[in-house]
Amino acid sequence: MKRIALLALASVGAAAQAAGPALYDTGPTQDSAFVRFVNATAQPLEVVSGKARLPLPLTQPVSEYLSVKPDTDIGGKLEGGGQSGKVSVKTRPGAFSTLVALPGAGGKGINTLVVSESPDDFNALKSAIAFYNFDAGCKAAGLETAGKAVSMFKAVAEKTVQRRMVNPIALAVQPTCDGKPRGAPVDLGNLQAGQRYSLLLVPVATGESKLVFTADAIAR
Amino acid sequence: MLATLAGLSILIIGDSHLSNAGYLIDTLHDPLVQAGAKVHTIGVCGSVAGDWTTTKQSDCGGAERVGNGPITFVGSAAATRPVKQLIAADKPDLVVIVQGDTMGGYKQATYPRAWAYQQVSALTKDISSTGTACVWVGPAWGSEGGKYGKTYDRVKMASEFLASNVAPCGYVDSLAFSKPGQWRTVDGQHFTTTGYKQWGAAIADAIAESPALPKKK
Repeated sequence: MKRIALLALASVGAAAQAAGPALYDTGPTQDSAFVRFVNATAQPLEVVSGKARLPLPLTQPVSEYLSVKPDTDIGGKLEGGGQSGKVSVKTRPGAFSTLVALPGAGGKGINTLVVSESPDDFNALKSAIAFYNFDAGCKAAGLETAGKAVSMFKAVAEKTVQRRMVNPIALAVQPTCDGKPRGAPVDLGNLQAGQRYSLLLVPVATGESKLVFTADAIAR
Repeated sequence: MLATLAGLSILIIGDSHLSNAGYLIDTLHDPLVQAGAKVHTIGVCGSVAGDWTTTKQSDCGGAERVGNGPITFVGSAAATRPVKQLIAADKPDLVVIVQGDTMGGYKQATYPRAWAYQQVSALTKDISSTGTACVWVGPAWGSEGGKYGKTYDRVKMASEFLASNVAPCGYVDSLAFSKPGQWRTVDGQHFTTTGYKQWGAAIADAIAESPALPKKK
């Protein structure tokens, strides 16, 4: 009986070899799409969508990228400190959207801005740095190395993003606005090969700006 | 030529190219064993890179082989296993990943880069977190058309993407081993026994010479 079973298994293998395996997919019907949330207000927030709740504490204001259905409205709201704001984001296949929560005008409510990027520069031997401008007070943002003032990004308009590859080295950066330093420099530490990073220029209550630095991560 | 492989423990994981008799589960596995390596091969049909960070059931079977033993066909029970668990169990010196064709998006108008990045980086991060050396074997030319809709332009694009994104694993460029269409296939993607023999031998040579190969203790 055992011999018959073994022969049966062998014949299954031989048949599969002659015809090739059963048909399988060679990838998704659409490229993936991702959304992440950033809390640039002065209070802890939660993203609420249906029954799902995603905390955005001040100690960890940037979420991981969450996989979402491409070209589909993701709706919900942001809540915290007695304030709320609307979440509405639709992401193209292959794109990564960042939704930032900002203080509303006069400290009332929560404003949201969405910027998407569709990268084609994935490379595990380099570090990739994106510079987002979410600061309405800075129409032409830039980024340069701290100390030596070597320009990395120039004239990044509000609600846009630029990304570039750099060698994985230790780096500290200084944001600029119209070519002048704005906000404090940020030490990025030792950049890792293959890691993607984001620097987000956001306004602060004093009329100044600050950089939010994060390593991009996709939730599993 | 394969002397650098003697004494190594090698874990091979991947897709349908490792799942049938006469495929790489024989034609890559055998030369590594003959070179003196301790080899464990697991093929799960239709698997993609990220599936090896978790457990994912296959719709089209799988196979496993240890050393000089026979192939065990797993059939409908075939599933991936998390690579970190496999590494903890086998303690391999080297992990070889055979993944490419299942991630080519051959029937789609555009190559799914964001998805491929998600898949590849998830697996390489899990392997590198264990400190284990790894080599990634990319797709071979196959032949255009067939039931998978493979094209030479797309497989070249998929291979170039993998070459740039599998570090810290070394990359084995299977496109360099033959000319497009040179190795005959049964369905555009899976080779005849002759093709698998040539592909397996070329991969074994490339692994033996790979800079990613761990230094012998």
